[in-house]
Amino acid sequence: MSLRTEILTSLETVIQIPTLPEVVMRLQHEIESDDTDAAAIARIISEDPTLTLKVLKIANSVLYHVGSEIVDVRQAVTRLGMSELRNLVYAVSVLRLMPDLPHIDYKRFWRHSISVAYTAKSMLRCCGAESGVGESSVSGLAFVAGLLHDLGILVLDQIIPEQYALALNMAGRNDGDSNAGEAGGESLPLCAAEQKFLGISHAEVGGIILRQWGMPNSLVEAVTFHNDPLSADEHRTLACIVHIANFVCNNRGIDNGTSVPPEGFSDACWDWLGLSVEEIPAIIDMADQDAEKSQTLMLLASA
Amino acid sequence: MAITEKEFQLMKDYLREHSGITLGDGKEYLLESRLTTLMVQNGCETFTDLHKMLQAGTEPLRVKVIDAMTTNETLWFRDDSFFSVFEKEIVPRLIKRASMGKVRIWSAACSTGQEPYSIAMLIDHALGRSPSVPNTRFEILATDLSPSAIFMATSARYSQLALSRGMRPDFKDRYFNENGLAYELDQKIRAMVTFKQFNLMDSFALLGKFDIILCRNVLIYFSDELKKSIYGKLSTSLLPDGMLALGSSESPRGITDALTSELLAKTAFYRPAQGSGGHSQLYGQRK
Ligand SMILES: C[S@@+](CC[C@H](N)C(=O)[O-])C[C@H]1O[C@@H](n2cnc3c(N)ncnc32)[C@H](O)[C@@H]1O
Ligand SMILES: [Fe+2]
Repeated sequence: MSLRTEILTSLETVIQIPTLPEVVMRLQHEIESDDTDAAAIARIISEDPTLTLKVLKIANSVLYHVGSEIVDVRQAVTRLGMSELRNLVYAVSVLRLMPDLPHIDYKRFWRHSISVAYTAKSMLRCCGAESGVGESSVSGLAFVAGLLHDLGILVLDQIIPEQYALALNMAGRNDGDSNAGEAGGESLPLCAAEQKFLGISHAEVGGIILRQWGMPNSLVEAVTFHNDPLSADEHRTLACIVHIANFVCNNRGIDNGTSVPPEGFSDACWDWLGLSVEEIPAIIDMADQDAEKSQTLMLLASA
Repeated sequence: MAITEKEFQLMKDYLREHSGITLGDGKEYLLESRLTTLMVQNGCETFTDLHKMLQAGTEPLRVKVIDAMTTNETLWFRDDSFFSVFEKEIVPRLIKRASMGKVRIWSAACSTGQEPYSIAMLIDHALGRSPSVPNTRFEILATDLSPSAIFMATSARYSQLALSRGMRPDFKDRYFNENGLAYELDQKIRAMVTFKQFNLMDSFALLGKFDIILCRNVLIYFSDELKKSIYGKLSTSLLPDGMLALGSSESPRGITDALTSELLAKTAFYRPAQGSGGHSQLYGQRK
């Protein structure tokens, strides 16, 4: 059996794959359903008291300038809006996904992912209208797509740690003290290294998991194609946003520690989004602020 | 991934037909170094596989191959002999001019910024010895077609690997700060360079005239016809006493007569040929 087939099989069977709490899935489905309302959303979140406490704490923090205090989830829905609240629930929930993995520094990993989430969302306003960023399948999911884009890395490190180490080394994984990755000039981008050693990339694995979780198609595609957005079909725009946001965060030094930062992004993807090079300084500023926000969010969520 | 002679021919023909990129003999390594990642991603074991896949005609793959062939490699102080002449011969002339007014320099395919920043550092370094001329007298315009390259250049953050490629140790210490895994270029040098997106196929009319233009290692991909037109435009964009520098393997000879060459310490620079036409600005007038 090829390693790829082996991986695909274990994705379907193995139970210790990190999974989002049920409340997140239900929330996602509720938001997508046509006849949802604030009360229904609030009810779902309130079923998880720990989550509720954290969400309220963060909603009242410097991250959201809400003015007078938000005292219950119901108010949080109306004051932050459904989509923003959902983003917050996701971020708080993924931070509970901290399995003890052999090669991944989860703090660094999630700081990167949360930054990509914020940056993906911030970038929406720089994109041209023709790219379709205004559609809810894009704007509503930019944060979540950024947040979950590298999920496959956690899964691979969990199910096949030994073989995964080979791919990570080829990608020039930096554990802080090594210089430009062990493989030096020979290093491959992580996805290419994974493809070579495992026959499957973390992007594809992440997509498979999200599909199993019943997540919307646009999210699945964005994650599957975050390193190769031109291959995305129907949901290319979301994939492009994650691709660029990921690059920008790496450029700002907010990487996930798994590989040498990429030396560029896909130009075709930039063009697809209708971005302009005049906005580069603004995007850089935005990403730096978003990196600080993620730091704050992580502190608040872990306290 | 290694390429065979036959595969090289196939890819060469494919690229010429689909992108106007013409690869000369001996450029096998270009294909190998630029396309390996893409091939692995697409499960191609050999260049024959890649060629088959391209023939089968998936649009995204074609775009990606062309991207990979044109988004490009660059080095700090690329070509030692060129930059040594630039430092010893050109920089002193430019500083002399700068004492009288603005000096304009254009890096016309700046990639990720190594070329314009190399120049900016050399100028700043030399100005340290003539403190009467401020470095704001120098306007370095750097353009490229690729937004990704311009992003990298604007951010001025380089990996250790990128920095190791050609950077002088003394300049590394003097002009770069370590910031996490990256090295960040000094703000003073960054401020000397303005980045813009620009396609060399477009009109140069709005760019103004320059004392020095560097158009290095980009026209190698273009057909002779395109080269001729771009050389013509470059010639018109030079001030009368301006000079053009090309990559060390490039020469306009036999392609255009809009340029004449001049050797400085064995390195060729080019000036607008007299009476080659298109040279209509008033002599001596500066923007
Ligand atoms: C090999 S790099 C040369 C960089 C630098 N001049 C040097 O010599 O190291 C070629 C650059 O040309 C750019 N380029 C390709 N076609 C172009 C065009 N039509 N207009 C402007 N830039 C172009 C590419 O994006 C790439 O950054
Ligand atoms: Fe990734």
